[in-house]
Amino acid sequence: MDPKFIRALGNLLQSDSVAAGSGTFYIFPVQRLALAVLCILLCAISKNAVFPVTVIAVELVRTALLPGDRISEVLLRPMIASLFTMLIMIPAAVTGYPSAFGTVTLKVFESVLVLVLLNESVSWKDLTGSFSALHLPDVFVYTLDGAVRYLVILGRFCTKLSEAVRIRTFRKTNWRKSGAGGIMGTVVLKSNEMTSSQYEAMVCRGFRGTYRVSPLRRRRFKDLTGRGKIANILYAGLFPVLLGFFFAV
Amino acid sequence: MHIPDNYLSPQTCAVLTAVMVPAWAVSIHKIRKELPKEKVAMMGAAAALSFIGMMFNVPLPGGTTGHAVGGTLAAILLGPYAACISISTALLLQALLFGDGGILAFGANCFNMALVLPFIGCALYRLLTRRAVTEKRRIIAAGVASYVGINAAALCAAIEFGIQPMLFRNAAGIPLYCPYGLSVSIPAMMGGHLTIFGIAEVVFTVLILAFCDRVGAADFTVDSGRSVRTASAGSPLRGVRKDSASGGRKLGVLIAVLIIFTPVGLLAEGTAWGEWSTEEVASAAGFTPAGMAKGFDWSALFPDYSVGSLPPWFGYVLSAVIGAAVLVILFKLFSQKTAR
Repeated sequence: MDPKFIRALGNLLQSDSVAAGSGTFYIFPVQRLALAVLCILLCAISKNAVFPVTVIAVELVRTALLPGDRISEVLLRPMIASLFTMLIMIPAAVTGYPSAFGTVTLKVFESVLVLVLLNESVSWKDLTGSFSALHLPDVFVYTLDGAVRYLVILGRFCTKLSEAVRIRTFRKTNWRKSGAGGIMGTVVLKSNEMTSSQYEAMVCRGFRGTYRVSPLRRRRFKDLTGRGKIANILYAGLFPVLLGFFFAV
Repeated sequence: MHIPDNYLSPQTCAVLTAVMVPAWAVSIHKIRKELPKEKVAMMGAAAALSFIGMMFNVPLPGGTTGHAVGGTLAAILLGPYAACISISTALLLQALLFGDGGILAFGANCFNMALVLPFIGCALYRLLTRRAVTEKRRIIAAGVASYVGINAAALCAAIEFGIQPMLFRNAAGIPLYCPYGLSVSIPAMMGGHLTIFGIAEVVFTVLILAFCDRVGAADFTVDSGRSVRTASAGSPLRGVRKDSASGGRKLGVLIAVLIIFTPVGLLAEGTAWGEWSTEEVASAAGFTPAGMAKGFDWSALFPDYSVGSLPPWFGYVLSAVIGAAVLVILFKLFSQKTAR
């Protein structure tokens, strides 16, 4: 098996677990995911800007509690998405619908910020693993997990390749003619190599064609500490609060 | 004390903004050079405290209202240069998002509340704590300094209002901007600030300073090089520095508690002197000054700290949450930038 691939996968898993963390107040990822999805859905169907503004206020507080070096990364993505939305919505503002311009931009900012903060608080493997709690087929969870992981690994590989090509180029060239096809082809070959490497590794560990999450790795409510149980119950209380507030405004 | 747009002539606004530009430049230079990274992040907390302090409106008999600013507090906690930038940022956010204070008058508001107030307050605080500093003496000095600081700022605002009818009139002699001269503006502004609003500033400064001292969230930069004796520990403060992370958390809890209580500021009815709408000026003065009738108008996202159709108290709390969070985020980002 390719040692570079193992190193890349190891780095990714490590950074993922470091970013997510886990403490006394462990909240089930499925709860976090469901609340984020509910927020985005309610925001999408809200008829005015009050609900998105309220959610943004709460999310801004969560952002303010992050370390300084994470804040810029967290805010960059919603900002880019909002700027892009503003560009698209310029005709609405010009043709006499400035409120639509503002509301849609706010909704996009809120939705992306919710997702980015979800990504900050829950690791990918916990997030994809939480789908099993929703009784989705294990193979779906496995495929999703693998797809997300490979998207990141191959994305980084692609960046390194394109950097290498750019460094070796001495003149301005059209990107279509400068070997982009070659990079893509190499990435496809690399992904094929990685997939076979992963399959071989899994076979070595007893993989027999079906994927199951070990019951030992699944965290249950009874496994939590007292504080963790209270935190989860309080977190569950946010769902009726959110729905109640949505219908009130 | 937040001067709205069109009360001051564009010339006055331009002059005061021109005064503020070098003040901001020097302050940023000093912060980058002298303030440690973690203290730069603390500027967010100081700005948030000032922002929230300005939301607690205090009523005065006669129908006017005022508020504390917390300029001297920020200057004592972080130094006058950091206080200048903190309060300027809070004022900018208030003007842009909440329509509190004018966009054109931003330089004038900064001159009064972010330059005069913290620098005079800090200078007086230093003067009063020249010798050995006890906790009691420091608190008294902070109270006196904050009282003098806010009154100096109010006097500047009153003079800015009062000189408008003298300098800017039309051919018929009717004022173009603020219709009240110095004989009205100075007693009106100073009457409130020498009594209730000055006391509000003292209470705000002293209570929060005592809290910061107690939880170890304060690192008194203006006391650097001197020993400060605390009543509780009986040993020099700089020698028994408490866990700053824990102090920061407790300061965060204090900000959250203050945010929850901000709707108390709504109990004060009436408008602060010099912050009336054009209609109110017209009914009080008997005419609408031309500069106000055809002046600059800024539509804030949350006018007067209200959010859409939400009840005023909820809009007030939400505005405080957004303001405090944005200020903390901005100064955390600024601290990252200065660290590089």
